[in-house]
Amino acid sequence: MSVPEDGAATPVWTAGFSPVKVEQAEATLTERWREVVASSSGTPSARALTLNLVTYVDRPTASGEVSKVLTQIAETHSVRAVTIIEDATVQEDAPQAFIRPDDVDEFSEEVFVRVNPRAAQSAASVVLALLAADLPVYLWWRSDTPFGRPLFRLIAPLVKKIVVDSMRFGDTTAALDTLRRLTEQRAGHVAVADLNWKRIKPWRREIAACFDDPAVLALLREFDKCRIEYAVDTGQPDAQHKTARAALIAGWLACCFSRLRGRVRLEPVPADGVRAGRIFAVLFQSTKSRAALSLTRQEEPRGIAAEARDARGEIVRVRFFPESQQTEAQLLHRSIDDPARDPVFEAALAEE
Amino acid sequence: MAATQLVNPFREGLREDRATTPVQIVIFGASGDLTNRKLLPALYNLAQADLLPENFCVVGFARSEMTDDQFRDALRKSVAESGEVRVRDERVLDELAKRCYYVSGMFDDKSAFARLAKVLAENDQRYNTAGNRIFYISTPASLFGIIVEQLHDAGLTGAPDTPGSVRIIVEKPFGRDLASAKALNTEMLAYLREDQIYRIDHYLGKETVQNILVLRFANGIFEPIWDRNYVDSVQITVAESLGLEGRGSFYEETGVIRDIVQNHGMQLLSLVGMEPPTTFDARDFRDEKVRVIEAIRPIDLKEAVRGQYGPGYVNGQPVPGYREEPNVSPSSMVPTFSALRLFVDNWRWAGVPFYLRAGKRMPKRVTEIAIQFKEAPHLPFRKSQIEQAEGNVLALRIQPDEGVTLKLEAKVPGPSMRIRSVAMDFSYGATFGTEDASPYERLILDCMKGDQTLFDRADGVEAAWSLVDPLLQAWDADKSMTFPNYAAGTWGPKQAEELIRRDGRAWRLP
Repeated sequence: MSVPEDGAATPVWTAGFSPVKVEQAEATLTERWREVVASSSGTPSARALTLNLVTYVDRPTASGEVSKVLTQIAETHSVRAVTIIEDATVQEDAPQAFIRPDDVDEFSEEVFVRVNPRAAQSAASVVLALLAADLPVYLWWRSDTPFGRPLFRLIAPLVKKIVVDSMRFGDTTAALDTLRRLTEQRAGHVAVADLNWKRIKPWRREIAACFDDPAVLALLREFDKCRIEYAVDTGQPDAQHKTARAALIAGWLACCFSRLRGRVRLEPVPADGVRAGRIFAVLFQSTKSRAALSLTRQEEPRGIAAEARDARGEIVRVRFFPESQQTEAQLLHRSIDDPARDPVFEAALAEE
Repeated sequence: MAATQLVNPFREGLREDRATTPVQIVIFGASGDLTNRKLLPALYNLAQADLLPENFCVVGFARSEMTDDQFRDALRKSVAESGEVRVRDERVLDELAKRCYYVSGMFDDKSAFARLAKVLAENDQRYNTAGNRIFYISTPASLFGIIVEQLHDAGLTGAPDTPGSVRIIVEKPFGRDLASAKALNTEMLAYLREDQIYRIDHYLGKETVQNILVLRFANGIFEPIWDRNYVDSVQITVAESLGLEGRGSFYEETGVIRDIVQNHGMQLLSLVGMEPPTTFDARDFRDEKVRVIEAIRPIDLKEAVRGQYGPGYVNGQPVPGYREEPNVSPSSMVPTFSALRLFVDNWRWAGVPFYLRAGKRMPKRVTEIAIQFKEAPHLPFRKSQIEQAEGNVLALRIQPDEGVTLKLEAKVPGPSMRIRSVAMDFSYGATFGTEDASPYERLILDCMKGDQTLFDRADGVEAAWSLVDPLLQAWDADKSMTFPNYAAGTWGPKQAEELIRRDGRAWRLP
């Protein structure tokens, strides 16, 4: 399975994080906060939080990456972060907690908890103990499908929003089934965010931006089909093609513009050296005229080039959208920024 | 079906804040200080945040001779020098600069406006802006009427048979008294509809000012106690530590009432005093704001204190007195400080004093609203157990250190029952961490979207002038005051202390 790379990450307990007894983690954070207040000048900042972010990772090395992401998230979101790290080397009845090293300039409400994968109840109890009161709980499930995982079953009833990455579910069309099941959790009372959906936002944004232009919008009545080109690894069988992103765009196009329903074709394009599943192009076409709108990924300069042609095939607009950064922290930031369900995402999933 | 009637079906759920209607922005006073310090950086920030429509361009208009390229250079310079530009991106800057044009001419010169009309028509073709224009009038108020008349004569104010929408943004001060404000409104409304006029007071574009509304109307716990039954008094402070910063001539014509009280002060008072609007659309919101101003009892001259600063120390540095500032008369009687005791005569606020003080060369720059709640009706503690019991205070800090503080009583840890006040402090920046958009970004964007909620309406402006006009006239007529009467770096003259002490209260030390 192709999952986002974690780079040269190391577990937090080998990166200077301090061990702390689980039952003393809360008190230790409070003590740290007092030190921050005592050393600050002027009006002290409140220890105000906006949400609990519970993160789950299934590999110790991933904890280092999560720690980096949380540092960036803390710049814009005041969160209580509890990260559960599954590690088979830990005794089942002895979860271990870690907090950042002492640094009054960088107070953070983060606790990393290392648990045995078989100790789901123990892990859930730690989460419950460390949640900041009265604040919504967001679960960032940074692993493959959560279904069938005891820890997920125990934590899911608490959460208001689940953040996943369907790329970690295999990035195939089947991964979208998992997303659909997630949106049906608790009769739809839980919001679901998919980092993969956020990953295709530049395509959605640039398509929408093209149609903000009245000259391009006027072509809309011509368009009745669409083609989405995505990268495939030629060594993989069709069923393993990373179609999740292309399928999400297709679902989105069809739910926004019903004339395209059933008329969006996903076209695999063999590509070496490009991560499978990456979108190459989105092409709006007409069966009755030469009108077209093409948005094509461009490498130099990096971005999306757009070209609109009228019914006679003459170019009416040419635009270029520079590539925007898409780090995991930015994708997560966008996912937790809005507590509500995303009706457009859910409609696209339902459409696909 | 015409293209303009189509709706972009792909826009839903994406950047709802983005202005998508094609438009040209014309800045009158394009070579001026406000344009360089605020407007051009704001437009750049909007472009950088991808909040501008694709079909967009800027046209500068001013008396100074300048080419398009020189105006583009001015844009680059203002972005480079602005402290408000968050992320500098040359590609964005290049793209915005390419879309900048300049027309030079006098504001009363018909031929200059004909040239402007020609440039706008060319840009309509070039950028497909469909005749939509925003005219940002960043000039002295004395030119508003002339410019609007010229726009009308040049066919640029959006006659019914002209496609596209035309909106005009005008900067405060909107008039210098009630008569001039009325005259200005009449002059503008001769050529424009009220829904085309956007009177900007940048205070309303501040996140923390808007947060007052969220605090009041999104939290169920405050509204039930937000009235005369629970509120003892309200203190509004708009203090600046700076002096005139080279604006002596301006301030000599203005003074603290026109500069702060009539606009910012009244904005803050109306937000804290208004009834909950049914909706936050422009009409409902502004109706409620105007009602509060109209309900303020005429100011009793005995309950108004004026002051002018003399030499003193601010932040440890010696600073000159007002009369020693450049371009200020050595015998000036212009007030740089005012303290008012106001009453809002309605059911909610009957009998609750609103103390409003504003001034220059105060010990620090701070804007805040403090809601002083009444003391608990009965204290079952011995007096010796209470170190301070001043009632709860909810302080809304607008700037700096934006946030909210609730002062409440707490038991001092220990075997005996001792009580003292503690402050629960919520810091806006520490909690949300994001860098605020400048008020101008928010307000320009609102104008592009046709949302007048955060702009002043003619009746609101006139209501505020109606309130302060008699005070201005009385103070202008009465030259008996001895100025200066407070030292720079202090919280104003002794009379201001006496004004509030008469009621058994004291000014807060913000």
